[in-house]
Amino acid sequence: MSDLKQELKEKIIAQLNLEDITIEDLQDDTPLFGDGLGLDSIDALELIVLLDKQYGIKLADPKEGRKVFETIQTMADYIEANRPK
Amino acid sequence: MNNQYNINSYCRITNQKIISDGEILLERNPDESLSDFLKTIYRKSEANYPKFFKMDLLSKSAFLATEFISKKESLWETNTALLLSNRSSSMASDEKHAQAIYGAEGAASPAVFVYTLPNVALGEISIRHQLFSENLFLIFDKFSPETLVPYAEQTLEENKAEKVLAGWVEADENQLDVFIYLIKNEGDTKHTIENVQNLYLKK
Repeated sequence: MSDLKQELKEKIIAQLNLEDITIEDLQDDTPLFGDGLGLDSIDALELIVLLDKQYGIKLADPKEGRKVFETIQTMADYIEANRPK
Repeated sequence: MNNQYNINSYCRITNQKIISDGEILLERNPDESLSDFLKTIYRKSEANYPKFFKMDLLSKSAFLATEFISKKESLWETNTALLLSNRSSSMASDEKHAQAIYGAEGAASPAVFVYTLPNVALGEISIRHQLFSENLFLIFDKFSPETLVPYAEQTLEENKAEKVLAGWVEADENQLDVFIYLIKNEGDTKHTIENVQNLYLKK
C-alpha cells in the first residue's frame, strides 16, 4: 500500500504539472481539492483518466469521485479495492 | 480616429530574450529549451501563480508578457479590453490533442484539450487580473497593426473599455514571437500603426 501511495504521489505531481509541489509536501491525508492542494475541475478529469489508464478502473459515476479523490489515502484505498485482479 | 491614445507599456518575448519597455529583463541560456525559458521568465516575474505550469505555451507567453506590463500599470479589476492575435491559433495544443487521441495513448487529456482554442489565453489573463471586459483573438498571416490599431481605438472611443491590451502571441516549441502592449490615454509613445510596428520590430 505504501508503494502505491508513493507511486500515486509521483504520478499526480507529474500528470498535473504540480511543479511547486514535492512528494514530501503531499501527505497521505492532504486534501487534494479545496484548501489542500487546490486542484480544479480539469485536474479532477485528469485524475479520472489516470485511474483508467494506469490502473484500469473506470469511474462511471462522477459523484463517486468526490470521495475517491479526497486524499492520496482514499485514492489508494479505492484502487486497492477496485483494480482488476 | 482621433490620435489621443498612447502606448503606455509593452513587453516583447523572443527566442532570445524578454524586453519590457526597452529594458532587457532576461536573455535565454542557449542550452535552455523555449519551454524552460518561459519557466525562467515566470520565476523572474515572481508571479506565484501555480496554475501557470498547467498552461500551454500560448497561454504561458501571453500570461507572462501581461504580467510584466501589469507591474507598471495595474490591470487588476480594470475595464481593460483584450485584443490578441497570432498566425497559428492554438495549433501546438491541437496537435498534442490529436496525438493523444490517435496515438499510442488512445485517450484525450483534459488538461491539453482545454487549451485547444486560442482565446483560452485571453481567459487566463482575465482570470489572473479579474477582468470582465471585452476580448477578441484574431488570426492573421503576420503581425498586423493596421487592424489592431484602429480596432483598439474604436473600442476606446466607444467607451467599451478604459484601456486595451493588444498584440501578437505566436508560441510553440520552436518559436516565441510575443509582443503585447497597453493602450490608454497616458504614455510616452503615440499609438500609431507605425509606432506599434517599430516597437514590434525593435530588437
